[in-house]
Amino acid sequence: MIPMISVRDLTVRYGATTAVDGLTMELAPGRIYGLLGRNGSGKTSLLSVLAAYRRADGGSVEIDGVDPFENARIMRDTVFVRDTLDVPEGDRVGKVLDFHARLRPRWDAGLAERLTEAFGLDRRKRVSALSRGQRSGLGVVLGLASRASLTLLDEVYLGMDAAARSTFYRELLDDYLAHPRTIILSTHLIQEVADLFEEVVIIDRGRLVVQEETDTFRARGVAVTGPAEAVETFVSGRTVLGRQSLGGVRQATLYGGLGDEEERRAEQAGLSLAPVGIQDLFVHLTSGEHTPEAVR
Amino acid sequence: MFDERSPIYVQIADGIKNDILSGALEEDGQVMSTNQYAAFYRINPATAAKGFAQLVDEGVLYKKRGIGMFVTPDARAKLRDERRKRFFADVVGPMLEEAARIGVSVDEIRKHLDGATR
Amino acid sequence: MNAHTVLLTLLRMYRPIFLWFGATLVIGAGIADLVLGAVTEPAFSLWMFVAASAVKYWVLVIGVILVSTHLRQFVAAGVTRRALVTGGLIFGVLTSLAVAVLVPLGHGLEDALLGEVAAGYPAWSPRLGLGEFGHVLPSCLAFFVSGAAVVAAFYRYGAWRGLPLLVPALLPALVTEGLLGLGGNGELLTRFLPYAAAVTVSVGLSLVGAMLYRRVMRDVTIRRSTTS
Repeated sequence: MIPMISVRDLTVRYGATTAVDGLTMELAPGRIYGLLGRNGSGKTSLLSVLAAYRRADGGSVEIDGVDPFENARIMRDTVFVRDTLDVPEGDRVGKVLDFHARLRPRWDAGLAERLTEAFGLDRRKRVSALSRGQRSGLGVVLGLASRASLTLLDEVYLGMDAAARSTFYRELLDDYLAHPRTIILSTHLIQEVADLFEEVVIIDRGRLVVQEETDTFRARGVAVTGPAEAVETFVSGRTVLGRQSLGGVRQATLYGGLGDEEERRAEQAGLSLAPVGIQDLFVHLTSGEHTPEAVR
Repeated sequence: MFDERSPIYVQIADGIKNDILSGALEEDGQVMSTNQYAAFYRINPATAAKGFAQLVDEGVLYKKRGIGMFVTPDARAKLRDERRKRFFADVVGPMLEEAARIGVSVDEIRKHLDGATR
Repeated sequence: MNAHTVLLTLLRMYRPIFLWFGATLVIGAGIADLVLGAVTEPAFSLWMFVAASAVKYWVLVIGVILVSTHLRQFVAAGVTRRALVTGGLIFGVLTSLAVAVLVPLGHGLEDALLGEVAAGYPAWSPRLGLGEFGHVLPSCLAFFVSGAAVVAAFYRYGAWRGLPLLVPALLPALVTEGLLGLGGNGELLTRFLPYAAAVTVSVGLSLVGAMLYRRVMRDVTIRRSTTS
């Protein structure tokens, strides 16, 4: 794999706070990535460095083999949409769209118009007069219609209702199918978008926890339920993400799939096995009970 | 659409196999492209491609370069054979186990089946 | 995305504002002059009183907006800081040139309108016009650069750490204001130094200010909002 994005030992600090802490990863071109992490996990800081919005405090970032910071070619072909829309508050929606249309070499005016309508945006309205959901909608329009080789969307669904989010996911996928490119979508509403991700990247406290094909990741979690003692015997030596008990019954959440042989052994021990939803798995992995290294 | 129990690509492959068995997909007929499939089911095209690749590996689908994917001529027969082999182990076995656990005799089952098929 | 594109975009963006502003000013002053000329014999230049002293503040505001609004806006559209700074500086110079031409032009027009009827009106000549241009231009350049540099320093370093940079950033505007000026009646003021030396010092300080501005902006973080 020739990586499009290669991050080495990246560190980002804000004063005394370390937002990204020695993160290393490589991302291949042309895929949709889900960047998952809790609030304050370092998602936005990581994306800010990729988008050349800020310099790294340590380590390096390369996009197509070069440092994106102040690189005209890379920056022109990278779009970063964050919750605080980076457009003048006093401008009208139409003016904002025209501005980006002028500066983005691959701007798709037709797509922009369709999306503007889909999100119920009035071109004559000022940005400051938009609702939270409409602001997010405008961010999505800018992010998708720019059609940049590297599209970074940071929790762009804030304030959107379920219908608008569903529109967003549909348009994202359709446009990606027609114009494949690298898209990194940060979110914590994993359940509803997981099917769109080719890979998930989970970060916690500024460190990489998991980078894996979504389907593989989905199969990682197993909930083992049964008599407390039998459960403990079965799970000893494995990565246990969480435990809960009710009377003598215990449920342990394991990380790492089980083979056929192990499944049979569990059944013989009177234990029942159940898959763990991708959202639950994420919560377990980032709930703070484990150091990120424990699951790697 | 898809559940959490198994990887989506496996569920995709199973869905197509069922369509072939039921006749919804004809032998030598063209199946949807991965992109069409991805757009229809709202999934990542790589996931769809993985499901299709598995079916090609298993000889259920074949590729025509530049045109698309087609159902292998003997796919239905092959799938039937496979499923028939597994039918007693996967379906009948567990049923008899459950019957034994709750005290349903084989005779009762036989009577029920006679009634159902009559 | 290069400085050229930034310049063209800024020109497009500000064109309607300039046209409205310029037109309002010229027409407003023209009407006021006609009324004045009809009821009295003005012994002063309304145009120089209103316009000449104000133009440097317009370009100062443009310098401020470049950092407070346009930086975030352009970088979010894939433009480098370098291109924005260069394109913005050229835009500031062009705007300064435009207003430095506008001032003597307005004075000349007003002279044509009132010079005949009002004996005490401060008469205009092409030579005086050249002097006005020569005074307004360096002062606009200095105010533009100071405006941009001051806001850049605060934007990048915050209120306290940006404070030390306030002195060099304000220097072009303050020194130029001391050396070169236009009186309330449009008289040319050249203080402390002969004109040639004053312009050299002023333009030199503006260049230093522009370099400071460029340096501060080179690796500035694009904040979530201007205030945070």
